Amino acid sequence: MRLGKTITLVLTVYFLFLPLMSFGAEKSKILLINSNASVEKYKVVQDEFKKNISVPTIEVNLETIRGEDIENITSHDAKLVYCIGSKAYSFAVKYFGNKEIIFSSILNYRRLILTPKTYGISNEPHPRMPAYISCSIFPTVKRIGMLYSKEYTTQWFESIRDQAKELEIEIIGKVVSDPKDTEPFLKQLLGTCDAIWLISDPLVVPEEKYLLNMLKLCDTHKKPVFSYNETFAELGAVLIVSVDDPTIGRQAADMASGLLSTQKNSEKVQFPAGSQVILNLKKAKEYGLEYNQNALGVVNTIIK
Amino acid sequence: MIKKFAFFFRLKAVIGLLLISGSFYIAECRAADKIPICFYSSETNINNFKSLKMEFDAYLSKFGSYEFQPFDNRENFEKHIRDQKKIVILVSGWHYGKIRNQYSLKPLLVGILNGKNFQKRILLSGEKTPDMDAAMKGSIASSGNAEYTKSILREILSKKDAADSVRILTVPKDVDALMSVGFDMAKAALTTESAFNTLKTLDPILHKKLKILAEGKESLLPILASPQEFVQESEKIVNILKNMPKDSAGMNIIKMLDLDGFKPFDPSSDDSKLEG
Repeated sequence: MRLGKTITLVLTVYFLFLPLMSFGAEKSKILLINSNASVEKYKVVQDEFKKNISVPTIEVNLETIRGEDIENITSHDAKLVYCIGSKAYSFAVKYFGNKEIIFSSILNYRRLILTPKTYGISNEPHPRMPAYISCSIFPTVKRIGMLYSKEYTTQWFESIRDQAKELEIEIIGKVVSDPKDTEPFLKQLLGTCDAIWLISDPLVVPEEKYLLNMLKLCDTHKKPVFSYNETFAELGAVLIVSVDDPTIGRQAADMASGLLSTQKNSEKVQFPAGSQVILNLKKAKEYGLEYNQNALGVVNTIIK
Repeated sequence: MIKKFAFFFRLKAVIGLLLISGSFYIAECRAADKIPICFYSSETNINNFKSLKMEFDAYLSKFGSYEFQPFDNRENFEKHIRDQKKIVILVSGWHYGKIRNQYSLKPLLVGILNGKNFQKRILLSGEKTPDMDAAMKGSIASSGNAEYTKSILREILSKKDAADSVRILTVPKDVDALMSVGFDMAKAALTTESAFNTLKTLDPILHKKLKILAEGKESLLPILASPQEFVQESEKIVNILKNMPKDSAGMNIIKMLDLDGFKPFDPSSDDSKLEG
């Protein structure tokens, strides 16, 4: 009898407060700001985010808004702001600095001003990933040369060197302080290394001609080039390990869901969880490079 | 004179139209005659479709009129195979178990990896996640789609409702799931014993940092099947696929599916490993 009364009371309270609970959920809106929704990379991330988030989301394309729209955007009482691209992040910090902000699709996020409530997904793969893929597909490649500069890529170099060491791969670095050193330093590395890891460093590769020259030199010496830039595959690089854009959208949605349910992530800025691997088998065969057939399952695109 | 010219002009136009429509008809017939091998994997988020299609089509064209059709979505895949009688499908063992009765399918071949035609799913956690309760408070990285992942979690977790509330982070490949749990992008990863063993060989340091929280039962690797009425006619393509690992080009394609080859489905031993 007493139990029956308790159940009735609990049910009454539940149904009485249900509309208020739903209202609370409805208010948990996300403001999604895209730097430019016509950029395919950004669009893919936005689409995947929307597919994977159950909270109402308001979308803004910064490329198409006018001055008078800003007031309307800032009037949204969103609980969280998700920014795609650096322009969107700067906008969010300016107008929503007190809210929780998640960013993604920003090159070199370390140059950003991060608020105490900033979370994000970096645009560079975890350095272990390219090293792992390299030793998985090309087990004979044990010494990899890398040109970097103190100004821009020391941190990346040190990180990949340490990660690769755990996989018994030696990364041999040469510091470039003037672009004219690029060619002689590369020639030195070609003499001692099994492959060259090309990173986007404005001091090492200030112009396209430097890049083309480096690729030509490596090709002449039949040394494979590894990179994380997809466009290098068309220019003759053998292995590309880049980030998977749809996964970034899903990861941002996951991060947003966690923050809205007060499950904070242990890392405020995470590495991307997904990768895309391009293997230029034509070049690998041309260089007589041994590859592990068992590892082809990790490859997304094979160039023949 | 003008009449004669007009007559010839009309005749030419009619012949031209007939030739154009004829060529369309032939092309249509050829496309219709092609036997499709429809592929969808719920278990691995295989997204190398472009390469897979190119490789399979080039390889199979040496043997006859076949077309590899990969799908990235279960709904579209099932919509496509519905009412198709002349078709073979390649799906995960889990997915086959779900649809075999609905589409009156018969299993023909089953994938092999490292000498086995089955796999065991495992749930792994990283150094910072001591137990299952802690793992359920974050997201679980998996290369399978959310439906598949939740279904497997329901099977392997003691708290069944935890599987429905946990957040799933879908990643492209098993190696991404392993890296995610290893480097704090996820609290846990649903992967296979075989992927974990590969990690042990290539990256023993990371392997040591991960621990198995739960294990699933043995389940079959991808299954090649056809509608009951097409079993006899599919014999040729079954043999082609079975023999693919015998040459290097064929083996490269099979490896892109993360398999070593196929073997005939044996009801006496394989039926018990079918799910659904």
